Amino acid sequence: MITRHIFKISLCALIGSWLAVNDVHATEAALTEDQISSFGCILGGTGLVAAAYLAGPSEAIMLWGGGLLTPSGSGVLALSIIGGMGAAGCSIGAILAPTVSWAYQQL
Amino acid sequence: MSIRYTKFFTVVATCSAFATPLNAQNIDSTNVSTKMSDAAMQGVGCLALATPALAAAYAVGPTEIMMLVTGAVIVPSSASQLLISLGGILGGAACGVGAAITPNVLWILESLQQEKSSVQNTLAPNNLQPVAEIAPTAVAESTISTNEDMVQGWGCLAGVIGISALTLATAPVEIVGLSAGGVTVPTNSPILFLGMAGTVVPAGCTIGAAASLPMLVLSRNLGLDAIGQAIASLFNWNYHEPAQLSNSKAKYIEANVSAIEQIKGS
Repeated sequence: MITRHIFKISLCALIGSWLAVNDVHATEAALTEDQISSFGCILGGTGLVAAAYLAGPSEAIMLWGGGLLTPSGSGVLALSIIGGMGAAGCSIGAILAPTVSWAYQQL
Repeated sequence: MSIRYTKFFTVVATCSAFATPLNAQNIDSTNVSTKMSDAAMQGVGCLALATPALAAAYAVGPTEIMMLVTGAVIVPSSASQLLISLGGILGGAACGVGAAITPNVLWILESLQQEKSSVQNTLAPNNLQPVAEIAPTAVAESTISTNEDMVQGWGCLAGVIGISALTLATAPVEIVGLSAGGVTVPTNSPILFLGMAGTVVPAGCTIGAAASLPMLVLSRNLGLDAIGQAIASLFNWNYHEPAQLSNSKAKYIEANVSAIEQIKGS
């Protein structure tokens, strides 16, 4: 049950961030590169967490962390995935966001 | 299904690795208003290093490399599981290193471009501009900014080279295994190198980048930067002396001076 909720929340955050970025571009409001990077962090983090929940969260966290321990509960699993994959996705998204934003502006 | 995903991802990663720098260069050279910002260029640097790393991993043996860099002891059941763990850890590590060294790569490319254009201008037959107009421009062009990002980029490179050399000189298989907490032994050298790229290399970059600024301050306080400037002057790197003309620009001015004197004489 918690797994479904987390997947739905991740998906909502992903769509919400994308819509927010598009809205800002549409209205040509001033958005600093740090803010764009923050949106990229949210998009990347939620995207990777959603992908992990879609592919199979228990196996994903075992592959990611090199563990052999099956999570005992949904809360433990969610914290592990957010702490590991969410942080990595955030980092990659924050780095790539200004580039994606620049490419979007060229279209 | 897994092999199909692997082939598809390898093709996409390879194409994007070649496409990103070319696109950035073309757009940058054709239209000034579309010039990318430093942060956007760091994203290109991220892609330029991460995509070849992932393509190489998928070409050499993705499951084994994934087990090396993550320390996993189970085989992924699907291509998506493999991609999430390998892309997140190896891709993320290469992305971070690529973004960190992007300012330095741009600085090197800019320096090479300036040297090339300066030599071309020197050799141009009808280039007879007054020296008073040329000299300030040449000096201004040589003042390539040296900000904190560049210092951290050099630190990252130094850390990567240092930790990689130390790892290879001691016990690379054991160090990679200890870093990731895994038990997998790499079967060949490319897998070992990619395993290092996902474990010790990003660590070296992070340590080098973090330590570079305090080390720079320390070396300046101890007066050691004079040694660095002396070494830089041997290779004609005007890194710490922006007002000094490079050899090619000095030749450029000298050629124009002699041309003007010849015109005055005639």
